[in-house]
Amino acid sequence: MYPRRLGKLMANSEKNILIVEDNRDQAQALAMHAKGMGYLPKIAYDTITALMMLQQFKIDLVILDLGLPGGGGLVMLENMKKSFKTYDIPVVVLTAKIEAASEQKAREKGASEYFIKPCSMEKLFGAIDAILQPPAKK
Amino acid sequence: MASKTKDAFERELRLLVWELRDNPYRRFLVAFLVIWAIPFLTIVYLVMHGTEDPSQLSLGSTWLILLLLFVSSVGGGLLALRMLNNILDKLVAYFIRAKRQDELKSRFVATISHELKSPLMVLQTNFSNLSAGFAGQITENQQAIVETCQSVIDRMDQLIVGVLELYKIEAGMITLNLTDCDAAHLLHAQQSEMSSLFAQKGIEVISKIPQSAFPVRWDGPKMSIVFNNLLSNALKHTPGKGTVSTELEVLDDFLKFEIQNTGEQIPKEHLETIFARFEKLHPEMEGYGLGLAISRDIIEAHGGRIWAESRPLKNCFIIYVPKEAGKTNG
Repeated sequence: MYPRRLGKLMANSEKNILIVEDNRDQAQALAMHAKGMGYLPKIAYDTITALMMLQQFKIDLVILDLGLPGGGGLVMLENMKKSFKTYDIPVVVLTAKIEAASEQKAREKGASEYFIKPCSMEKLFGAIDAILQPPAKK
Repeated sequence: MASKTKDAFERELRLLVWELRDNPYRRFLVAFLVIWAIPFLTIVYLVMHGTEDPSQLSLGSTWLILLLLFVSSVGGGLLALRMLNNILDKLVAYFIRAKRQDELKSRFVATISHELKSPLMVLQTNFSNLSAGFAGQITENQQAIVETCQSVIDRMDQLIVGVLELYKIEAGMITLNLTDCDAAHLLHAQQSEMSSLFAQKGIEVISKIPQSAFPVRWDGPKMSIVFNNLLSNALKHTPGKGTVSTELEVLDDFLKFEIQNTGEQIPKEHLETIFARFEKLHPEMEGYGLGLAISRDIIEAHGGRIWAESRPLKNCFIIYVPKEAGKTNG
């Protein structure tokens, strides 16, 4: 069990995850979990900082809240998909918006996954693992 | 809260009807009488004082009468136009107000959802961190406490989702997304999802739901919530080694679904009240008493009915739903 987990941690250790979340407690708890899972988390509390960080660092995946200051998460998603540098970065939406229309919009704008708060970390990071470490092709 | 909104809406609608029908109508009548009273009284005056035969009126008097008739007709027309304008203004204002109310309701749901669900997520993440040992190793006892807290978070989330769902239904915010689906498939899916839970409790499930397709036009996901609620209820209220039986049959344009479970009978005085929100037969049992209330709302939105019957040593829930939601006649 341990070597398997260690292997996973090592595989994750070069992946940068950008957490875009205005609730500081939430962002830090998510960062702690991401770090525990072996990822390298970075935090942005608003969309403008997030877009700047996306240009500055090599980000492998974005965990995005939708209700954010500096333009909503959907606007950020739109901007990401317009930029040559960021259009192919997978985005996992984590939001309290329960409306089906909201999920549909997010997916139309390019979100890979949509999770409604509160969701279990197993589900969230299960999806993140699946996106970042697709099973090896046979 | 939702019923208050409904009352307010109804009051407003009545006020609008009064404004449109009674009030302007009366105003119009008064104005009409006043305007037409002028030429009428003039003619009466001329007939009585000018000459005994109206055909012998002088040219001046005839012109005067015609002028008065013209003025009063134009006045009446203008008044009618003004009244129409008023009615149109009120209609436009009414629809704007109704739209704003819908927006307020949506914002209310979004705000409540955000304000209640976000803190739960913070707790959920932190407990997961504790449980996974990301904040330092914890003992087995501490692990058990963390797991209890996580299950409480799940229950709180269910409650929030349930309450918001009810609010949306009552505020008229839920519209059925009708699609062609198979009722038998919906039921089989729910039953197989819960089969392990029934087996764990040693409950025998006797399904008389045919394998053949039962094509219907329903909101599939919402009807699945209803079936899930009824099966969960049966699971909760059936003692170990009991029996749950389900049956589906076609009655003209309706489908009848019946679910029976052995166990303590529901007292007759509770057969109706169990469908009220937050109403629980056994307060000590898990859940918030929202499942049946939500189910009834969904069934009624489809144009169907749901009720409970108490039979010897059994309880039974019966649903009648039109094959094509909303079509209840013929």
